[in-house]
Order: sequence, then structure tokens, then C-alpha cells
Amino acid sequence: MTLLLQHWVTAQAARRPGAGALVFKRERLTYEALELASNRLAHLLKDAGCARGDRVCLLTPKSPAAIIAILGVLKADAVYVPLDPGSPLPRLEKMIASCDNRWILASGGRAVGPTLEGLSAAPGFADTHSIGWLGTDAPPAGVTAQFSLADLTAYPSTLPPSANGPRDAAHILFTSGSTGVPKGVVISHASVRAFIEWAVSYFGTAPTDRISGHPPLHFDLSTFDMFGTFAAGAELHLVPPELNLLPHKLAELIRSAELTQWFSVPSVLNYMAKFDVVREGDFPSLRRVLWCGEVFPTPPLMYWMQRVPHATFTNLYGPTEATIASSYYTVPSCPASEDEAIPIGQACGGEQLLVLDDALRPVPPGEVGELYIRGAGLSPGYWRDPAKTQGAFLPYPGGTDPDDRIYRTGDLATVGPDGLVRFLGRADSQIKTRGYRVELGEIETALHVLGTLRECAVVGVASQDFDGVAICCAFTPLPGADVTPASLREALARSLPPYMLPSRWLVFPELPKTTNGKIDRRRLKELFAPETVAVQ
Amino acid sequence: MMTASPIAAAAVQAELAAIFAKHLHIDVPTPETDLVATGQLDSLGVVELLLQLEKHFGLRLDMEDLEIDPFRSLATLTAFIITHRSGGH
Repeated sequence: MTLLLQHWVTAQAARRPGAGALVFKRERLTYEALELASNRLAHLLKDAGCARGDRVCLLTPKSPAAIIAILGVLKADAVYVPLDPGSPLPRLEKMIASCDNRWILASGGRAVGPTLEGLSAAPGFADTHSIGWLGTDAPPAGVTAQFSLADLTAYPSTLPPSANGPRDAAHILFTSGSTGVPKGVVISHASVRAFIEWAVSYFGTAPTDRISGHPPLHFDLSTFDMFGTFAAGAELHLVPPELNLLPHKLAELIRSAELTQWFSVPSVLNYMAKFDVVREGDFPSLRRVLWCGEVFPTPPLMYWMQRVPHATFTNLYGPTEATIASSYYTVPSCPASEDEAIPIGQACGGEQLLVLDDALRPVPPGEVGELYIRGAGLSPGYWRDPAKTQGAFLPYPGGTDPDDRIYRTGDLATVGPDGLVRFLGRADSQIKTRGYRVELGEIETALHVLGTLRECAVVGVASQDFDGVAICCAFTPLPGADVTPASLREALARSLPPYMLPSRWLVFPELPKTTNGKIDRRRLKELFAPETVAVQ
Repeated sequence: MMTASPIAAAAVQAELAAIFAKHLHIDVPTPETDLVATGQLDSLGVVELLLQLEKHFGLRLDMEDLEIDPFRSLATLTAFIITHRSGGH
């Protein structure tokens, strides 16, 4: 009966209204409370003119209000666009402009206030946009809110009728774009549903589960946490982002909330291992540890598996364009050696992984090819960008149905004799750092725009630390320009989010070149490789 | 509660600002800027910071004893350093 994502909450609220749906710090929401609040918000949005298919941008840190907003937008037959409140204003403005939207739902005083004030101050913004304030505090000065949380009580708590179907868009997620403009990936209800139904069945998610909500909401893994929890009638424990600073605080949360499932990017698990905050036999309630977004190095995986032998450990793999994850591999037992590579495994239900050559023919087992994904998770494409969509989503070779498409991941892979797929790296200059997907070209574009550098190059270097790949910037200042790594970083921070800022810097009188005059990126990587690099 | 002279506190804060610029590549706008809420300080930054606190102030801190609040701003970090330095070293 459940057709659309929000209906999982509706079903749970009917069956077990008093059961806990959501926990965040000291706040706790039952399924009934979540259902009624999001129903009211949907009525309000529709009443205010929000139409089917309209985009509603969310500028709200992870919180119960944010989850209510997501469900409310879906129940209004609209599309939610979770934006990173930590992103700088110019980047947010680009994303909001490309959404061509009216509504912005916001909350979160200190983190969001200056951003909202900046948006509101732009000429013409107030004529084209309306802000709904979901904070329990007053909206920031300089921001006119069309409605606030208190106004919700005036609206009916019944579920509004829905005209949407499974193929309609549920959300748009922005990812880094190599030319400096983030791309909006459109994801349908049906794609999320297909993954969630597979995952709930494969993992055996139950109403007794207490599930971590670690990734931020603009990260597509968070849709698994949310809807995986709601589909099973379990309880979602949103992890306060500041806990990421101190690994023992994360461990304390897993212990005290008695979480049964932990899902995060590997760098978080690695950070906890590095500071040895997991005890022998720790987290007795924990049944599953899942990661996605980048390679989890084997040594910290062994650390975890030795200390938490009662849990299963599953590697999920998949780009945003194919919805949450497309393949999985549950590690059968603790790896015997630190250099044992963990496969990305086999396709999740309804998906297919294809390792193809340049002519889109399958490569023989053991040979390297590019990884393509086919199946239920595929996005209809990039928001209002047919050129990029056509470049990345191709017709299935030999297929006759125009809906039968494959997505080019840009990842290099090989299929082993065991039939399991192994990830080998990237075919382009995209990197993963702490699970975030970053186009190095977007950083270089932002550096060039500053106008203080004669030359610059950004490379990714495998890090001995827990961040996976370190972003490294080599630069040559323009004559007379007074630039330091700190001043460049500060200038970049006005256009890029914190996770895209380079952490290592080298200044050159001239960047090293290859024999045909191109910047020698391989040489730069070697120069950045020592951990000791620091600029005086 | 230990109190430090304003001069000592100012010196610690200035040294911290220099550490942020040189080792974390962050120019902190004001001593009160919330480094956590603004996302400027991340886990890698914390690790680098702990290393530098030991080098510059002789603070040997046990991760397990740390709370998040001292890391919020240069001002809170300054108070934290003064308390811990006078506490045992």
C-alpha cells in the first residue's frame, strides 16, 4: 500500500502511534507527533500556494524540525532540496537560483542566521522567495518569515490527499561539479523505495532497532537512515554534528543510546579506531556497522571487528545518481591481513553493476574497466541540465526500452573470479574526502576566480590520517600579491564549503611542468606525499 | 577556579591565533567566533590542534577527558589552556 516515502510514517503512526520515531539530544518524537506535525506543515504549504512538483529548499541543521520539514514537503507533493547550512552564501545562492523555487524552510540560529540574512539582503529576493521559520527561537534579525512554527497549529492534522506517484521526484541533492557549479541530482520516490525495501529486508531491520542518523541531511546516505528507520518502525537517533570532533563522544553516544545500527562514512570509524575509543566487547546492543562513501582501510576495519565481534560489518557502495547505494559486501569474518582489500561486492536488489570497456562491452573477469550501474536506483538525471544528464546516463547497450539506462560512475573496477566487484580508483579528478565527493576542478575554478594567483593546481593525495584523501593545493602568487595559505583558505571559504578547503599547501616560484608543458600533477602528488608538508 | 592576568590571557590568545593561521590555515575572525557551529574546526583540525597545544603550551591532554565546549572559540580555548597549564605543569 505504501507508495510514497512519507507514507511509511503514516503507516507506523496508525499502527504504533506512541512508539518513538526520532531522538535528538533531549528531544524525542513519537510516530504520531511526527505524522501530525508534518501533516499540518503540508496543509500550510499547500495553502500558501506550494504546488505539486515545486522545489522547497531546506536550510536547517539536522534536527527533528528538519525531518518534519522533509515529510511535510513530500506530503505537499513538493520536492525537498536539503542544502548544507555550512556552505558559503555564493554557493547556496547558485543552488537556490537553479532550483527556481519560492519556499525556503529554515531553522538553527547561529549556524543559519547569517546565511539567511545574506540571502534576504540580495535585491529582489523578497519578491521571489518566502521563508518559513521552523526554529523554536525567533527568526534572525533582518529576515522576514512568512510563517513560523507556532502557525502550524492553525492547520488540520489530517493527511492531505496526494496526487504524486512513485516516479515523481522526492528530492534534489547537489554534488560538486567540475566546472565550479554544483549539479542537482533528482531522485524519485520509487528509487528510494526500491533501495529501502531491499535494505530493510536484507538487514532485517525491526521496530526494536535504534538507528544512527550520522550523515548531514544534504548527504544522500541520510535518506537511508531516515526512511530505513521509518519503513521498519524503528527509532532514528540523530547524531549531533559537533560530536564528530571528539571520537570518544561518538562512542559514548553509541553506548548510552544503545544503538543497534551505526552507519557513517569510513573516516568517522577510522577516527574512532585511531584514538582507540572502542573497548573490547563494546556496544553490546550494536548489531550492524555499515559504511559508504569511500574506501574503509582494512586496519581500522580489523580494529572494529576484533572489538565488536557481535556485530556484522557491511560495505555499501554507490553514487548519489544511483540512490544511496547500489552494491554491498558483508565482511564474512575479520580479515586475516592488513593488506586484504574489501570488495564493493555485489549489486543490491533491483540493481546491476557492469564493468565495461570504452566501447561499453563487458571486460573479462580480472580486467579493469569503468563501472556502470543499471536498475531501480537510477536518477532521471541532473536538474534542468540535459547535456550533463546525457553525458552520464546512457542507453543500456543493446536495450530497446528508453527507460533502460546505465549510469557512468567514473569509478574503475574489476570483477573477481568470485563474481565480486572491486573498486580500484577514479577515471577522473574526482576524489572522496571524509565521504564527500569533491571535484578538484571546482576548487581550482574557485582559486582562479580570486585573481591573486598566477598558477595553481589542486591534487588529492592518499592520507595517512583518517580523512582518506587529503586535498593539496600548489600555487604561484601573481607578482606583488601578498598571499599565504591562511589567506587563500579564508578567501576560498567564501565560495566553498569547509570540507572542500585544501588542508596542505605548497608555494612555488613556478609549478612543475611535464615535457609538453602541462602542470605535472604526478610530480605534485609526490611532493605532497610526505605528511610533514607545511608552509612557513 | 584559577584566574590569569589579562596580559597572560592575551598572550595565550595571540599565540593560539598564530597556531590556527600557521598550522590549521584558518584566520579566525574574532576570539568569539564559534569555530564548531561555523564548521571551521573539524576532526582533523582538532588532532592538529592537540599536537600544537602540547608543543606550544606543554599540555598533554588525554582525548578521553576532553569535552567539546572548550573548542568552540579562541576565547574558550584560551580559558581552557590557562586552567590546564596552571593545573599541573
